[in-house]
Amino acid sequence: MAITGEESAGDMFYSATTVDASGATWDSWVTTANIESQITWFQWNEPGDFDTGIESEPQASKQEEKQQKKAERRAKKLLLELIGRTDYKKFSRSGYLDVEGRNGRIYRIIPRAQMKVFEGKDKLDVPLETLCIITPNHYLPKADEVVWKKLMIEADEDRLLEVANHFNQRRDLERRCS
Amino acid sequence: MGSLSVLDPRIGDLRVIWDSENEDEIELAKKQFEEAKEKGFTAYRVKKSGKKGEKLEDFDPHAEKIIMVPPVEGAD
Repeated sequence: MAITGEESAGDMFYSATTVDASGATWDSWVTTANIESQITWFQWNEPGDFDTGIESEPQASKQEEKQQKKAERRAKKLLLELIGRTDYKKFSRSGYLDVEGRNGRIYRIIPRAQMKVFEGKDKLDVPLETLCIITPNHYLPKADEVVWKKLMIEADEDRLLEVANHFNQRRDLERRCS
Repeated sequence: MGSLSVLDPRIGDLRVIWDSENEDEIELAKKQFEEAKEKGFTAYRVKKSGKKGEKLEDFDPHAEKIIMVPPVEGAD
């Protein structure tokens, strides 16, 4: 029997779900946090599954689901190799990875969501714009998405900016406030 | 030892490892690299320490790690 409970502390909501009440095993922790007016969900589940919750995955059979989880685990190992333990832990907790591009710009990678671009490390309140770029025909695991976006930011930034669709949040925000 | 990871939706990444002093292994890795390039994948060379990567046009048998990314496009 599934039991859910919620506690709130300010902007942080903790919802825990246990699948087996008699086993008293907490299967997952779900944390929601307001990040720049966008609700971001991430889920930590041993052996380390996470879900930003922004986009629901396509429905899959049990076999496909098993395969997807395996692919995701493998992708996480690759991401861990690429960014190291410290940054990986930060990413697992926050649900996003900040990567510095040219001229001090910060790109915030959120799996399955638009990438936010900030002017600099000390200007992370309002993004300059957001970018949307995907790998069509290759629905990669979320961790792989973080891998390739980081690679493009650091080694192929011009092409990233050329290919991605740009959405100017700052302008839109000013319009709403004026 | 070098490793080539071709990102893949079904398994995460297809990985090929080679010994930079073994011609046969280099050939196999190079073949995988070129096949992915023909499909529009882009290659990036990274150091195992995770430092900034760089785009790679041709297979480098001395690379520590190469990651290949499928074609990308803008979306909404």
